[in-house]
Amino acid sequence: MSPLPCGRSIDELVAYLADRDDPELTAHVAGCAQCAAELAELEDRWSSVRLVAVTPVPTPPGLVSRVLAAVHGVRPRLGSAPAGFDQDGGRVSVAERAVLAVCRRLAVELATGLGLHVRGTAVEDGELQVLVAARYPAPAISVADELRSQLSRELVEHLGDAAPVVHVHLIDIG
Amino acid sequence: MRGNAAAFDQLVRRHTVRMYRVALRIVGDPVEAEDVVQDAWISAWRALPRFRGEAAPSTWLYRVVTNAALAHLRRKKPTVPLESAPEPRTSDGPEASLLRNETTDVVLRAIAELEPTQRVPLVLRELEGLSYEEVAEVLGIAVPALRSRLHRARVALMAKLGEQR
Repeated sequence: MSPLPCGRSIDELVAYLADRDDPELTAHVAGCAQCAAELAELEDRWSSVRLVAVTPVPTPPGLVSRVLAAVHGVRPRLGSAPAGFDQDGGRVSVAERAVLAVCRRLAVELATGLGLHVRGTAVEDGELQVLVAARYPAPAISVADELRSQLSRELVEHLGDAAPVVHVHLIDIG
Repeated sequence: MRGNAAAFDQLVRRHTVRMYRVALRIVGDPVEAEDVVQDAWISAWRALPRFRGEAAPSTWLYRVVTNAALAHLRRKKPTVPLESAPEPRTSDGPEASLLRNETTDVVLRAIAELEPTQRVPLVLRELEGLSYEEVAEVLGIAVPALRSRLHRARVALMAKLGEQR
């Protein structure tokens, strides 16, 4: 940035504004009309940043519950048996943890591509439940159906006959 | 695992609001911020066996959520809509509230236009109020490098705010 008539720069004043840890500049600003004027203008802008810092951010209702549901959805149940499916060379055994991880990853990837937001995944009684939110004006119901179809195909490709039946639930349209 | 799970759920209850606030200020959109928070907590759950307590849980969680937010920004198109940013909760009268909303919007839009490498340290330092050492630890960089990055972020932010007046 171009220097001020006194030789100081706006960059220096911005740094000073943030930390005020330069005694030499403090002394200079006290006696320099240009710097004082620039600093007043910068302080005005900086005060709006400070305002944002202290303005509370509203949390969406039910956020913590949805996060807990999402986390529980990727947790294997104690003592759960591994899933198995046939591949070239024999039968492959897959821990429930891995099945859950694959289900969630694919659900999120495919949902994002369709403009949906995954709010939770869980395997219950061997079937995958996917909770999604859509944003208006997306054709939410048909897109949710499309997600179910795509996800079912992908899971069969990845997990063979260990792929769970897929259910997609539209829980929110924002 | 049962003890870990219960303790982890406590962490979720205690820190989700903060994680959401950071995510929202980085990605600029409430729906995407929730995606980021979910991804972050699932990453944290998977990384839990490797967490050995070298950092405070809050520092570790800041790292997890900023990584999730940065991954999200890399995946998405290079636009950051803030039209749907939530209105701040205030107890002022309607005029003060309106002014505050406008000011907040202007600042958040300007922050959203910063490069992510500048935006993230700025959010952590200036909006979350972390110390330089804490931000450096979250981002895994040295304090002098952080100071330099923050300085560029502040200069860019001040210039953007100046343009909008």
